[in-house]
Amino acid sequence: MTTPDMLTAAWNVPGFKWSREKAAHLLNRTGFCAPPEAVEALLRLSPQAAVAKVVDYEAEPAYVYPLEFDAYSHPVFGSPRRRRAFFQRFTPAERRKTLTRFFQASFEKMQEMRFWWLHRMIHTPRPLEEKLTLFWHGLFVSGFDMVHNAYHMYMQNNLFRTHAAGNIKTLTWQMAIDPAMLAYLNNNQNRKAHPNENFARELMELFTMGIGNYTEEDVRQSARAWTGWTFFDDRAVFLARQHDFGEKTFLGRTGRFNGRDILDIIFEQPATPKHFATKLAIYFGNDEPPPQVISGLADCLKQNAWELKPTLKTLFSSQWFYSDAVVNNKVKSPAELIAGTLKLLGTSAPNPGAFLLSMELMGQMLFEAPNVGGWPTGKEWIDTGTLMARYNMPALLVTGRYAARMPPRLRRILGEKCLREFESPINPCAELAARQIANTRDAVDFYLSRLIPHGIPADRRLDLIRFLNRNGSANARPLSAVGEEKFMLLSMLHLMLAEPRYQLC
Amino acid sequence: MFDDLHTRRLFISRGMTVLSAATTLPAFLESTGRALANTRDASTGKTRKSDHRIFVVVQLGGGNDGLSTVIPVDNDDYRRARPRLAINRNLLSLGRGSGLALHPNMTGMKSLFDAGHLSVVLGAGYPNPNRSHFRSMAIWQTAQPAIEANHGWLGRYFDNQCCGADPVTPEAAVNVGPTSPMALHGKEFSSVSFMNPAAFQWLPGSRKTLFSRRMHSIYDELNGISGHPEAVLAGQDSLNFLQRVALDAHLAGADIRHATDDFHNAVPYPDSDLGRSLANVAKMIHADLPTTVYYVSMGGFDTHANEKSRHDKLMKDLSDALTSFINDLKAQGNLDRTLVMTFSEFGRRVAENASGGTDHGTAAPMFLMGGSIRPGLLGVEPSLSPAHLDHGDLRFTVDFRTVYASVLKDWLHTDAQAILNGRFKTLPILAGRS
Repeated sequence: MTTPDMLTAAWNVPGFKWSREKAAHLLNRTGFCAPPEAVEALLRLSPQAAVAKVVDYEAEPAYVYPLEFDAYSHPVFGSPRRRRAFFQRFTPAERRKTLTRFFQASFEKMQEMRFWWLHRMIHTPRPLEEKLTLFWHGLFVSGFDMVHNAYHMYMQNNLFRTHAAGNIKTLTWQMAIDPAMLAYLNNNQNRKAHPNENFARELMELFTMGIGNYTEEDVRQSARAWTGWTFFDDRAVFLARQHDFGEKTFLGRTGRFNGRDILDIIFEQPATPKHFATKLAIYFGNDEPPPQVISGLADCLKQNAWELKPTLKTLFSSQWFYSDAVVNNKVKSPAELIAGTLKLLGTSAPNPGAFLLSMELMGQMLFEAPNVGGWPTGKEWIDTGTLMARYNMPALLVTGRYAARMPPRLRRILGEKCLREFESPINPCAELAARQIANTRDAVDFYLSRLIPHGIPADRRLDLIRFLNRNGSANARPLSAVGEEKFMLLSMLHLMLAEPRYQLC
Repeated sequence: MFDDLHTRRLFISRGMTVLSAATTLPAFLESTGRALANTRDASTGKTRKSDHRIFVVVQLGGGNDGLSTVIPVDNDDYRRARPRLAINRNLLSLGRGSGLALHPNMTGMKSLFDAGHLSVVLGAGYPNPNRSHFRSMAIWQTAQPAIEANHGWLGRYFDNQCCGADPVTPEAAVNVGPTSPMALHGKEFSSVSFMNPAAFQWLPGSRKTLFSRRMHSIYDELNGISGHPEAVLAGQDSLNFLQRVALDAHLAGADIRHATDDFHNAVPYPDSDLGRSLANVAKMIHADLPTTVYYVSMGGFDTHANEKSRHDKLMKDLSDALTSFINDLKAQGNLDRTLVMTFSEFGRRVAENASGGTDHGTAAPMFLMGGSIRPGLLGVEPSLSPAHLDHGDLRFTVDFRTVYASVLKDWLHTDAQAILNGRFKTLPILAGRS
C-alpha cells in the first residue's frame, strides 16, 4: 500500500469488496463484538451507509438503564455551612462512623456501576457510544480510588457518553471542571499561594499534547492559571480569591491567563491534534499506526474544529482500517472480551462477583485505571498472569464451573453463592435445539461461526469435534448420543473461548 | 501417568526433535527447553538445590516522598519548607552524627538497620530529572535517561545471560503484580508475571480426572503447547505472541503453585498488597525456584494532597512488609543469598503545596537489604538549602545507575557496562568490601 493513500476510502480502491469479514471487522472495532445477525444487516447496506449507520448512532434509541442513588451514595449538603453544621452534631467517633458509612455506600455503588456499564456495553443499540465512553474513560482518567464519590464517577461517565462523538475541545473543558477530575488530580485544592501542579501537568502530558512538547516552566505557569477551581456537592465552583490573576507566560504567549485561555493555547499547538489522532488510531486500529495515518487524522480533527465524527468516518472508511495490518490483529481489551462473549452467547446476567473478579484478574477494573496514564492497549494487556485469567474467564462467566477452585481471597469477592459451583447462565442445548442443530459437528461449526468467524486451523476444529463426540471420532454424532450433553457443550465452549484467536479481533 | 513432569519431558524431547529439523524455530522454544533440561534433574524431576543469588526489586509507584521517609533531623531548611509536613517527633535515628532518621512508623526497618541488614543510598537520581511519572519510571526501569528505550535493565541482563550455551527460562524473573514491568522486558527475554498464584493455572485442567486431562490436552493443542511448532510458527504476529505467553504460563504455573501451596512462611506478614506479594516471594525462594529476580510493587505514593496521614500509613505498610520478608528469609537461611532494593520514580518537591501535599520532585533515598549488604549509609544527603535547590528540587548526589552497576557487577557477577550502555563506578554495597 502506498502511504499517502492510507486514509483513502477503501471502496475507492479497485478490487475492494464489501464482505462479511469487513462488516464484522467494522462491528468488532466500533463495538464489542460482531453477532452474525448484525453482520448480515450491515451487508445489506453499502459500506458508506454502514459506516454512517455506526457513527451517526443517534438514529438508534438510547439505552435506558437508570441507576439509583440514595442519601449515602450521593450525599448533598447544599452549602459548605450546612455541611459543617451536619458534621458538628457528631462526636468525633460518630463523625468517623458517618464518614465510613458514606464511603461504604459509594464503594458498593461502584460495584453496581461496573455491572451497570457492562450491561450497557452488551445491550446498547449504539455500541460506538459505549466504546467511545470507554475510550474517554481511559484517556481523561479519574479513579474511584482517589475520588471516593460514586455519584461523581457516575456524572463523569455520563459526561463522556454525552460528548462521546462530539467536540473534543468542549469535552476537555467539561473535564477540567468536572468534580471527579478536580478531585482526582487535586485541582480542587490548587490555590494561588501554593499552586498544585498535578492537573496542569497531566493535562498536557497525558490528556492533550504528549510529553516533550512543553517545559517544566509551562507546567508551573499553567498550574497558576488553573488556581481557584474547586467543587461543592456536584457543582464546579470558581473561587476568585484563590485565583492567581497575575501575568503568565505559557507556551510562548504572555497574558493574564485563566484555565480557559490555557486550553485555547493548548488546542492551537500542532502536538495536540497529533496526540488525539494517535490515541484514536491505536484504540480503533492497531498498536503501531503509521505516521501517515496519524497526520491524516490530525488534519481531519483540525479542519473540523475538533468535531470527532468526520474523523471517525474517515478512519472507519480508510483502506488502512481494512488492511491485513489491522484486521484480526488486535488483542481485545478485557471489557471487549467479556461484553462480546456475553453478547455472542446470549448471556444477559452473569454472576456480578464473577464479572468483577474476572475483570480484576485480566487487569481492567472499570472506574479504577491502574494510574492516570489509563489502560494498556493491544499486546500490553497480555502477560502470563492476565492470559491465564482470560482463559479462565469462561469458567466464571459462561460455564459456572470451577469457581470453588479459586483462592479464598478471590472467593470472598465472588460471594457466598459462588463457593458452590453455580448454574451456568447459558443453555446451549436450548440454543441449538431452537436452531435445529442436532449433531456435534454442526454444533462446533455453529459456535465457531459466532465466536471465531475468522477461523481456526482445520485440525483444531476436528479436535473440538472429537472432544465433543467423546469417542475419538471426528464424524458428526447426534448430540443426544453424547451423554451429559449440556456439560459437554459448556466444556467445549470453554475450550473455544480459550483459543488464542478468540483473544484477537 | 500424564503429569506436569511428563508434559515437560514431552515438551523438551519434542522441542529438541523439532530443533534438529527446523533451525528457524523461535528462540524461546529452544531456550525454554534447554533451560528446563538444565535446572531439572532428569531422573527425579526435582530442582537441584542451588545457592544462586537472588535479587528482589520493590517498586514504589507514584513518587515516594524521600524527605518524609529518611528525615533530615534538626534541619531548619526542612522545617521552613514544610510547616505542616515536617516530622520532628519519634524519629528513628540512623546513627549519631548522621543527621538522618527513619520515619517514626518504620520501627521494623529501624531494627533491621540496627541488626546490620539495611543500608540507605542517599540522594539517588539522575541528570536532567524528568517529573513525569511515566517517563521517569521508564528511565528508572530502562536505566536510559537520554533515549526512549524499549527494554529494561534487567531484561537486558537476561538477554546477555542468554548468549552463551545456557539460555534463560522465563522463570528466571518473576513479577508478582497486575502487569509485568518494563524493567524485566528484554529483546529476547520475557518474564513470568502473575497476581495470585492460585489463579495462575488453567482451572479446568487440574488433571485429577480423565475428563480434565482430556480438556487439558485439547487446550494444549489450541495453544500450541503440545509440541506443534507449526502452530507457533504460523499465523500472525499477535497469535505467535499469545502462544508464547501461554507456553510460558504453562511451564511456570506448576512450579509457582507448588511453591506457594506447599511451603509456609516462618513469620506472619501484614495484610497488605505488598505483604501478600512478599509472602509469596519468600515461599518461592524457599522452594528454590530457578529464579534470580523477583519484582514486586506498591502504589499510592503520589501524595499531592493531604499527605500526612496517607504517607504515615504507606511507611508503616512498607516497613512492616519488608521486615517480615527479611525475618522470614533469615529463618529460612536464605537471607545471605538475597539482596533487596527499593526505588521510586522520583522524590517530591522540598516545599509543601497548599493542599498539605507535595508535587513531583527529583532525588530520593533507596533502601538495600539482605544478609550480605554493607550496612549503614551510602552517599551524601543532598543539601536542602534554598540556594542549592534546582527550581525547588533536590540535586541528586548518587546516580542510580551506580547502584545498578554495583548490583550487576558485585551481586550478579556480570558486565555492568554492557547492560547499562556506559561506565559507572560502583558503590561498596556488600559487606567485606571497602
